[in-house]
Amino acid sequence: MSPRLTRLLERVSRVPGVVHTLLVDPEAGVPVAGIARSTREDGSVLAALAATLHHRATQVAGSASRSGIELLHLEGERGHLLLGCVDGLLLVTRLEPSAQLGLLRLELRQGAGEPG
Amino acid sequence: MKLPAASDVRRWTDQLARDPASLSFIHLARACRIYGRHEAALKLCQNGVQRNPSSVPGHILLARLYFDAGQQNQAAAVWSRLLELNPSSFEARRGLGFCALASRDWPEAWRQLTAAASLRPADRAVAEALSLLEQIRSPDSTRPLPPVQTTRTPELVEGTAPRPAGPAGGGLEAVDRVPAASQPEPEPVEVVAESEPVEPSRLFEPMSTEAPFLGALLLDERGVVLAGKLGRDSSRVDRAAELAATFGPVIREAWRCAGHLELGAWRALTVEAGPECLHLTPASGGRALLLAASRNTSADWLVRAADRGQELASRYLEVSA
Repeated sequence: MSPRLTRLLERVSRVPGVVHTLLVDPEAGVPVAGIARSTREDGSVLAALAATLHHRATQVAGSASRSGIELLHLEGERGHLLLGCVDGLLLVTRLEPSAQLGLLRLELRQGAGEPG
Repeated sequence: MKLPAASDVRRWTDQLARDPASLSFIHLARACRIYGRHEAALKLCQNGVQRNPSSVPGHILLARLYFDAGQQNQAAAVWSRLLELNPSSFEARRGLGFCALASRDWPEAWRQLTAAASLRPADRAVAEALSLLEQIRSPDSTRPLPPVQTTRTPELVEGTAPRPAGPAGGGLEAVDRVPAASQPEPEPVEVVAESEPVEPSRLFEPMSTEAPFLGALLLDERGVVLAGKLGRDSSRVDRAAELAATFGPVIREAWRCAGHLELGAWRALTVEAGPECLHLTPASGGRALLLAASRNTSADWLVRAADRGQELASRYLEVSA
């Protein structure tokens, strides 16, 4: 994994309220790397669920704007799931309800635009 | 009578807490009425009508709540106010007719109920009340005058039926924390249309004046478009069905994800792709509201627009039920 992706993973995982961060192969639905904080969640389960949701949503995005997904945000009563695309990988982040979503989105944008 | 879900009650409570002038008070007050929280329903409705003096559905509900409580004078005052807002209001004529029946003012009851019948000839309750009045007016009628309470229509007395305790999962206790109206609002300047059916494709047109808005769809659980359209021009109408069909599996996947990851019930799914942002929120009965907006619009605008869309969708579903 490139140093840039490693840095991105670390920065994202430090955003307040982030519980689990993974880089996932969207085709295989398996984790490439990850950092879990205050959770024993199975990264492979999170990766598989996130990849399937991303796959389904990609079809929607294609119908809507003929474009690929840049960001997907699932908001639940007890937390959030945020998916972003970086270098052909999915950056999957699970967050607490009170997480700093704005900061996280900023990190994702900067990470996606940062030169390798 | 359909029982509102706890999630709906919580959503309406949140909307009202965020924006005390929200029309969500109507849904919340109806829920309170259904669950027998009459005082809470009345308080919500009084505050709501004070803040939304041109809301016809709000006036109708407030009048019914007064009528439920046996406060015919207050009910008649609200129905009179409704008649000022909308002189061709069937609800107001019928309500005033039943108030007059309750106070045994037969001429006034006849006048209001015949006016109501001219507006909606097929209404059975009005027809039965007029038939009763005809018997009362007939000089050779031997039928005794009916007890006042029996003159109420099923719709008007629905609040007096045995009540369910509350929605599964609670939610109504939060109603008490909804802020009350503090200052009287100015006189109404706009008449909101009574609950008449709208053309489904035009349901979300009131939202189209806001710049980020690109369209909205009300979808059922099978991914079928129930109402709304995408875009301001006709070129995107055909794509609405395609988009709706692909969203069905996404909704199921969102449910699955939220369940496995213990995120609780899903509140919203937002997809940013190309120049657009698609914001999906759950609606009652397994339906969903899909809002299309310009990319980079604020999260706050999305939330407010989704709330407004949900209100329009709820009203539409009630009228078309």
